[in-house]
Amino acid sequence: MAHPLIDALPGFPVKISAVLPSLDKAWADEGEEAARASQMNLVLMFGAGVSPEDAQARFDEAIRFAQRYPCRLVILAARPLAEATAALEAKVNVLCFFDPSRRGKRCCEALMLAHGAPTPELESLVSTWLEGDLPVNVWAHGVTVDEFKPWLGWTSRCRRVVADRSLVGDEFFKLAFPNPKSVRDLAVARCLPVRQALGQYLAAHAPAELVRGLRSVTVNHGTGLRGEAAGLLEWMRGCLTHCAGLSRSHLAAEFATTPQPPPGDNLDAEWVYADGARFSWEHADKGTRAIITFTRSRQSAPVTQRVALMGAPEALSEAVFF
Amino acid sequence: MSDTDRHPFLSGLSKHRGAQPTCVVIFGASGDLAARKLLPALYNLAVDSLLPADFHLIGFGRKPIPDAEFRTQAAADLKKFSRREFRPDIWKRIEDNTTYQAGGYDDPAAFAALKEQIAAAEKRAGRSLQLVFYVSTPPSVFEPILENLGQSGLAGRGVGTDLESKVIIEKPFGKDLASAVHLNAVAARNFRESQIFRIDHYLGKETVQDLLVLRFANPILEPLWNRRHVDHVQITVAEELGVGTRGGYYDGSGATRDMLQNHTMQLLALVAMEQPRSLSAEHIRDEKVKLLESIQPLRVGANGDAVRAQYVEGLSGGEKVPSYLTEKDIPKDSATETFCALRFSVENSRWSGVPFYMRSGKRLARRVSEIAIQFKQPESGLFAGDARYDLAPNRLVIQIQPDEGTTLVLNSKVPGLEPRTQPVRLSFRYATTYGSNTPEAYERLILDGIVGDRTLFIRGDETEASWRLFTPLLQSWQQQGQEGMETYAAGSWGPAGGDALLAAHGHAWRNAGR
Repeated sequence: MAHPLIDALPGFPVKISAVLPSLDKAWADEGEEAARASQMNLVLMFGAGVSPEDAQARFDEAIRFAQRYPCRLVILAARPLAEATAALEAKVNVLCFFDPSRRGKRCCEALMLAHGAPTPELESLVSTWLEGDLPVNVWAHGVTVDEFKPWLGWTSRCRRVVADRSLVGDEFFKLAFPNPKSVRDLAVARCLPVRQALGQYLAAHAPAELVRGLRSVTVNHGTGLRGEAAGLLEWMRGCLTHCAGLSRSHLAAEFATTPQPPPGDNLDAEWVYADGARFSWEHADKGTRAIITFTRSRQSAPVTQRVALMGAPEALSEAVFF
Repeated sequence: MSDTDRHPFLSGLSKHRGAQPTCVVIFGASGDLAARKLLPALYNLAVDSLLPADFHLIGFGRKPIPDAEFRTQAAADLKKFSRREFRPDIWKRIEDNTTYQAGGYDDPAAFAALKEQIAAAEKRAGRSLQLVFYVSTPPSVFEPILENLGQSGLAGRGVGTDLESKVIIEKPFGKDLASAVHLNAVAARNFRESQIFRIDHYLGKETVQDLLVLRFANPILEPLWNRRHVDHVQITVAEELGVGTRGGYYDGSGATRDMLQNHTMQLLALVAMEQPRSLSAEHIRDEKVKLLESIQPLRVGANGDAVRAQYVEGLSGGEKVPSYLTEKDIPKDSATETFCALRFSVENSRWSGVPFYMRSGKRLARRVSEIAIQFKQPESGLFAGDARYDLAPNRLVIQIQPDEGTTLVLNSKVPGLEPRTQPVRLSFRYATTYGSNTPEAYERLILDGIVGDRTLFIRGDETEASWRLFTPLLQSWQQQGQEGMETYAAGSWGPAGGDALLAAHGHAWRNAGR
C-alpha cells in the first residue's frame, strides 16, 4: 500500500534490500566530480498525521540544511495504526546542486522509509542506513507522543532530538528521554534573534532597574506561535530571576503567556511595573521588525530594530549544533 | 569575560551574539584592505545577525570623501568582494549609521572631529557605544594614530567596563626587534594590553584554529607528537603570484618580514607548543611565548640555518613572467629576498633534535600553505629493507589554503597475490565535509575584537619573541646586500640552497601538487 508521504517526496522507489546499492549507483551516475561527504546523519521522522504538502515542505527544508551541512538524510514516515502491518516501502534520492563557493557540484542523499509499528528489527534496519561513526540527529515533525515512545531507547545513541513545541506540544518534551540534555525545541531556536536583540538592549540596563517593582510579564502569541511564546517567557523568567539574584531583590512578578494574537498573528511581550513604567516589545511587519519601548530607559522613545525569526534551516542548525 | 560575569540578559547567548553596542572606526578606510576584506567582513557579520543592533561605522582617511560617496563606494566594494550576494536590505542597516571623517593621522583636530562624530552616533543611538579602532594604514602612521587616540581621550573610554575601547592593529607590527619594542611602548602608553588586538589573519583561518582541536582533542596523536616519533616538520607558505602592484611596499619588506616572522611563526608555535592549561587567551598565548623562547638563535652565514633568494624570469601558469628586479617599482640593485627558507631547532624535552623547516616565497610553483609533520620510519621491522615494499614515511599534512583539510599518509597492501605495498592517503577536506559554510578569517577576527576575545590575536611579548629570532638574520642580510643572494626560476619551488638546507639532514621538501 503506497504511503502518501513517500509517494509525494521526490526519488525512485526501491526494494528495501536494494536501498544501499541503489544509493551507490545513483552516486556513480552523478559522476566523479560530485562531492560525497557527510558530517552527520539527519533522521526526519514524520508522524502519521502529517500531510503530503507539509512533508514536502519539511523535506525541502531538510535538503536546504543538507546543502549547507552535508549529511545523510533518512526520512521515516509512520503509517497510521490501521496500516501498522503494511509492508515497508523505500525510496532513494540523490539531489545535486551547483555550489558556487566550491565551483563544483555538491549532492545530498536521501533515503526514505514508510513503516508501521516500530520494532527492534525496524530500528536495526534504520541503523544500517546511517553513516557509521557520524553523529545522528533526529528531527521529529508532527510526531505524537505515542508514535515517538517506541523510539525513546534508540535516541540514547543520538546527539540531538529536535522538535517544534508549537506543533508537538508540551507532552512531547515531558517524555522520558534517556538523555534529556539532547532534546531541543525548534521554537526556542527560531527565537534566537529575538533573544539576541532583546538581550543586547536590556543588557544596557542595570539588573536592579529591570526588576524593581516588576508586577507582570506577559507574552502574547498568535495561534501558531505557542512554543515560541513559551520559550520566550521562560527565557525572560530565567534572566529576570538572575537579575533579582544579582541585585538582591525580590521578584514577585506574575509570568504568563496569553493566546491573544497581536496584529498579524504575531508575538509581543509586555512588562508592567508598580510605578506605571512599562517595557514592551512588538514583533511587527510579519516579524521582520521589532519595536522596543522601555519607559525607564534613558531613551524612552521606541527603538526599532530589524529582527526576524530564524528561517527553518538556520533554526535547525541552531538546534542541532548549540 | 566568563558567562557568569555577563549581564543576565546576555548570559544565555554565545559570546559572539552578545556584542555590546559598537562603533567601529576604520583608519585607512579608502584603502585596499578595507575594500577587499574589512567592509565585506562587517557586511557578512550583518548577514549572520552577529553585529550588535546598535552598530555604527566611521571611515577615517586622509582623502576628503563625502559621506554619501563613501557609502556608495562601500556598496560597490561589497558587490565586488563579499563572499555572499549583496542584499540592499542588509547593507541599509549598516549604511544608515555609516559616516566618513577626513583628516591627517597626525592631526589632533581631525581626532577632535572624530570624537564629535562618535558623540553624534551615540546621540542617535541614545546610549554609549563601545569604540573599536581598526588601524589598517601603512605602518608609518601607526604611531601618530595610537598617540592621537590616547591624547584625544578616545583610547581611554570605558576602561575596565564592558564598553572599553579597543584597537585592532594590522601587520607589520614593527620591522625589527627595536621597532616592535618601540611600537609596543607607544601602544602601552595609550592603551592597556587588554585593549590591544594585534591581528594576524592566519589565526582566523579555520584550519589554523583546528590545530588546537586536532592536537588536543585527539588523544591518539599526543603520544606521537614528540622527538621520539617525529622526524621533522615542514611549514610552507608559497605564493604563485609575483609582487604585482605592491612592488614598492614589498621591496621594503621581503618574504621574511612579510610571511615568516608573523604567519609562519604562529603556525610553528601552534604546532609545537605544549598543551595550554585552558582555552583562555592568556593560557594559549603563554604557551606560544614559551615555545618561541625555546627556539635557538638562527646560525647566519654559509652552511647556516637560512637561505634567501630572488626569483628570475621563468614560467608561471605556462606564461613567461619577468624577474623580480625588472618588476614595477623594484630598484635594479634590490637586495630584498622574495624567498626565504629557514631551519629552526626547538630546545625542549619534546622537540630537541627535530628540525623545523619553513619557507615562503613569491612566484613559486603553486599557491599553498601547509604544515607537514613527517614521522620517523623504523630501520628494522617486518617490511623494512625489502625492495618489494614501497614504504613511505607516515606523514600528517595540515593544508591551510587552498583546499583546507588534513591528510594522513599510511602504507597499504596493493591488492593481488604478490605482497606489494604502496602509500595511500586518508583525506579530510573542509569544503567537502562542512560545505560552503566557512566564514572569512577577517569576519571571525573582527567579531572577536568587538566581543573582546583576544585568543586569536598576538600579545606584545609574542611579537618581540619572534623579532628576537629574526632581527640578527635580517641585520646580517642587510649588511651583506646582494652577497649570498641566490636566485630561482619563477614557477619553481625555490633555489638550490633551499633544497640543500634540508638535504644536509637527509630531508627533502614535499613540493606537493594538489
